[in-house]
Amino acid sequence: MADRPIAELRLAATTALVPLVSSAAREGARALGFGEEDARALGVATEDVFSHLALSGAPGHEVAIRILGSRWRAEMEFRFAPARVDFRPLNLTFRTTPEDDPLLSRTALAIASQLVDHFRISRRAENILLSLTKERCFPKSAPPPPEPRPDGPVSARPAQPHEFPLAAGLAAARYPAEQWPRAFESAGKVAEMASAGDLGAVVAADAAGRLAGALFWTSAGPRMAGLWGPFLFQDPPVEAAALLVDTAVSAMARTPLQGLIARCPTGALPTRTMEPLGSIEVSLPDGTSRTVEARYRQLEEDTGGVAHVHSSVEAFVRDRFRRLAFGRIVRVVPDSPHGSGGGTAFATEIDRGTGLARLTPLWLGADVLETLRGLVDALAAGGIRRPLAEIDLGEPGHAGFAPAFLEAGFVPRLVLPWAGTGDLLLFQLGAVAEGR
Amino acid sequence: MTGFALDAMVPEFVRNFEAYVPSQPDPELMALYGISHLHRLNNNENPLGPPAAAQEVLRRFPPRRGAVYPSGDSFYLRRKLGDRLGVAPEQVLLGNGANELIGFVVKAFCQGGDNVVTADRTFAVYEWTARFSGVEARLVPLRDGRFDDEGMLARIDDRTKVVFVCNPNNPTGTYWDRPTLLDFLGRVDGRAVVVLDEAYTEFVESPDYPDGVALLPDHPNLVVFRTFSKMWGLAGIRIGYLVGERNLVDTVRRTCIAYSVNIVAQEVALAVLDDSGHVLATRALVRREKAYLRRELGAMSLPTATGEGNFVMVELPISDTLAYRKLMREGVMIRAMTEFRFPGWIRVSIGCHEAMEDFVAALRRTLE
Repeated sequence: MADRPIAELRLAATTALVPLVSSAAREGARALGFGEEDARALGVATEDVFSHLALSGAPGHEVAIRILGSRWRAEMEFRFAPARVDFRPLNLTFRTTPEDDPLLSRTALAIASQLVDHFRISRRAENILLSLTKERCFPKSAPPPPEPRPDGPVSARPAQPHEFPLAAGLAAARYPAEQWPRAFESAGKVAEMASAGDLGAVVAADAAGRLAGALFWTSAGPRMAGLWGPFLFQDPPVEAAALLVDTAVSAMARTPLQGLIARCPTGALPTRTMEPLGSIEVSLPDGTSRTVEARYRQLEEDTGGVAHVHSSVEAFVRDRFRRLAFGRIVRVVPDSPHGSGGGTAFATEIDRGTGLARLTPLWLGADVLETLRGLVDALAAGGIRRPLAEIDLGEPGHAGFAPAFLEAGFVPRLVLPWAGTGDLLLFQLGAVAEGR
Repeated sequence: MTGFALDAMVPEFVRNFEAYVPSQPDPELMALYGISHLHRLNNNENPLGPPAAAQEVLRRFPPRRGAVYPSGDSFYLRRKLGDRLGVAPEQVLLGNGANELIGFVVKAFCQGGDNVVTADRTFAVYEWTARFSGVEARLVPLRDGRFDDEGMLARIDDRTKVVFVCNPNNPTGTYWDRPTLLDFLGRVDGRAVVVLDEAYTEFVESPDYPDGVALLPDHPNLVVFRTFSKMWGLAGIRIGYLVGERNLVDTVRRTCIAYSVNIVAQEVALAVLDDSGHVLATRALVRREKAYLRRELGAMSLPTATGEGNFVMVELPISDTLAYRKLMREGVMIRAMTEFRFPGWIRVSIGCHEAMEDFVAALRRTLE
């Protein structure tokens, strides 16, 4: 659910105003109920970002800042038009001059990204949107006692507010950590997320309310929901998974959502209800990783569209469209010469909760490979070794990035329908190719 | 120009509403899916087309009359419909398709803080129109596949202005019989306007199906919607009408768009009303092809819901939105029912026999 801003500022990006912006971030977080440590972290990250904008990102230009959030998350959103067609300062690895801070291994944006839970740079028409999200710390909860076995038939329905923390706790106690969001460790956080409309759930229960299972969803993009589950709470399980999926799908029908993705579904997911998209590697809390099969379900009839691809990934994309029966006109974009002066820029999204980072093309220059490798190194230094990269197949200008992604070691993994302007082609660093 | 804050000017209920995206024209779809023909079995159109008299009107329409405004209130058509239905012409209001009439009614009776009551799994436009008008849509789950009269009565409060009942219901084909409808109207007791949407009324042959128009004299809060799009084969012409008690219709007329029904639509609609043979022929086709579908789908062990109307619902062992795409690749367009909150189901319109055969064959290949 979109949060309402609690404060909005419009000001010039100058270093003199850094204390004002930083203070606004801290006070905004406090107003949302955040503790001192979390508020300070958001303030420092904000200070880093705004200083960076004042010095190189958009010096002197108007920046619209919004503080948004609820009782579990605080977000600082910076929106501005870049000074010229030079997006380089938005690279996580950008330094003001080659000489500055030669001893500092990390740049302002990289530092800011590590102070928050979610860091995102994206391009919206002529504007750049930079967002920092800090999640409030909640104490971990003890696992709930096992749920009594339902007596009689179960039916699925939207979860009641008090059932969210219980069902999340039961899921976390019974399933591997990669299959549920970190928030499930805390009943308080789950309750706040549900109350803010940021976590949805359906439960399967008997007439007395004894839970047989649950299915959750969170936002996975502007028109995409990410499914978690289905979780079944009994041994042997009460068969309720199909019921849960159908009820969740019905609950999301006729909303602005266009599709659902289950990045790491449980084995209970009925395969008939969601289509296999491809696999990605996810990091586990113990430092290892695991390959998971992502599944997808469209909520609307597909309208068809055009996909702009580079010849190097054409076969992969065509194969995915064929497998998923998507009606697409595939247009191969010819290589275009780019300037010799560099200028490549990537938007970066980092989610500390899942340990995933995603690179999105902003501007293509002759230094694309060098920039990409620098970003990969910077992410690895921050503990993210298998970043994702995406190409929006609805944006002809993105196609030219494909050779650089491939050369840098990224491998196409899946096509996510309508997750951008058009479909998104998702790569992952160092993963083994499928279907090529 | 700088500083145009579009978002700030848009009401929240509009900002949060996602526009309906209609399907692309056939040539575009055929190019996208690499097919050379397309059976459109998604909108419950009449495969026989309009009656012969209407086709003649279309053929003979003088192009120069395209420069002249139509009757702003469909004068002659209201008169003829009034004669047919046994009501005064003032009790009839025409719209550019029945969808437009839904908007007129919501505008006439609802304001911020009001609500409408309808079913969760029915024609979407009642719910959509309420939502993008800033009016709460209270959705009552179907009970045993039917509109739940008790459930709907329980959701009516002093801010309920309109209750929408789709009879027979699209997509289940279920309907309220006369006693159920009369009991419901009696218990609503004038607390809200009751819209009885009879878009598929001409297809119904069951003797206990009620004629909403006949109930108007005793129920001044009742409005009956009908359309020329389904039985009469004029979906592309866009024309529908409502009938109600005179004062109620006068109120709705205040919010209607005069001249929204074009000159061709008015003349074609006038021509079709005398053609009872068209209704009989269409009913015979629907009966025959529904029996064929029931037989074929039954042989594939697929559950169906075949109520009244020129459509059949089918439950599939795969996602309905995936089935939609796969069937498109076979040259068959159906309706995926997730948008009707029936995930895993599709709705197929009754078409000519060749289209039904092609659908069955395509579905068989899709599920292989």
